[in-house]
Amino acid sequence: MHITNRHIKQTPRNKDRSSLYTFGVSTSNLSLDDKLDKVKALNQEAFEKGGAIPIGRGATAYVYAPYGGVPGLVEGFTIGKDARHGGDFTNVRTVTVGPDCHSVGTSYPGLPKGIGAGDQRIVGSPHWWDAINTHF
Amino acid sequence: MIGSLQIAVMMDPFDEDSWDTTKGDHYTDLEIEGREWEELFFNVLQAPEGQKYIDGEDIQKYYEHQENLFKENLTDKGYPMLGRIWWMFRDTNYLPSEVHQLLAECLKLQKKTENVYALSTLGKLIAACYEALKINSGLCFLSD
Repeated sequence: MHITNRHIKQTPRNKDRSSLYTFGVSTSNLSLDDKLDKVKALNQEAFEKGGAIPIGRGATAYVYAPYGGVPGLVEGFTIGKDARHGGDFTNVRTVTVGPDCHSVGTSYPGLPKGIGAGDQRIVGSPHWWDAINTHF
Repeated sequence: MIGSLQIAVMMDPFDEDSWDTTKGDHYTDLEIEGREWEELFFNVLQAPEGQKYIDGEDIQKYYEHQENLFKENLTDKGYPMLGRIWWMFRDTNYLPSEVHQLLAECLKLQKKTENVYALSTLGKLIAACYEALKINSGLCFLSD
């Protein structure tokens, strides 16, 4: 419910205040179920491939920033808008997983607060693009 | 500790769908950061860090147990409202009728500590309480 309200649907309380999954291009035609399925798949991938950062209570944040494209021509793999980065599009995502290595607490586009883009625990290469000049 | 809690003033914080800016619901510019939370609760208030997860344990029960340990410890110390902020990765809400008590706990603790991170946290909490009290509203602390 937290992920849905805060980072997928964005209820009025969360609008413009929290990061939003966009899955690259506009997702206006996707149903909520489709978006949830995509987020689950993204979470699984971040859990398997991302860098682990302890967050207390035995839980862990996994941060993954896959980067692709053609250098200088195409930049890609935008998964959403990062509220902590002025709403810019980003390829970075964070998922928090409980000590059971199964339950997801939250997940969102962007870095956890308190972690810099150069943190060595991040797997991948974090990038941000402004909405106007983004190349998908 | 990483993470943050954005602070918003909200008339009915336990009903997310009731958000209504015409009733004064709004975000403050205040945000509690991980180090601030950690210093206030673990260094100053000496809250319990909790018990280790046992493989196979029901995860919801595990979290409930962590939350209860934290709350009960701080309630025993005279800080039941502060005790609700048990983790940076969970939302916390206060009804309008509870903001006065939260404010009182923060003011009391402010006099007892010189920890700069804890004082920073308390300063933010106190400012948020005053902002809510201006319109007899509640508060919500929103995790990422």
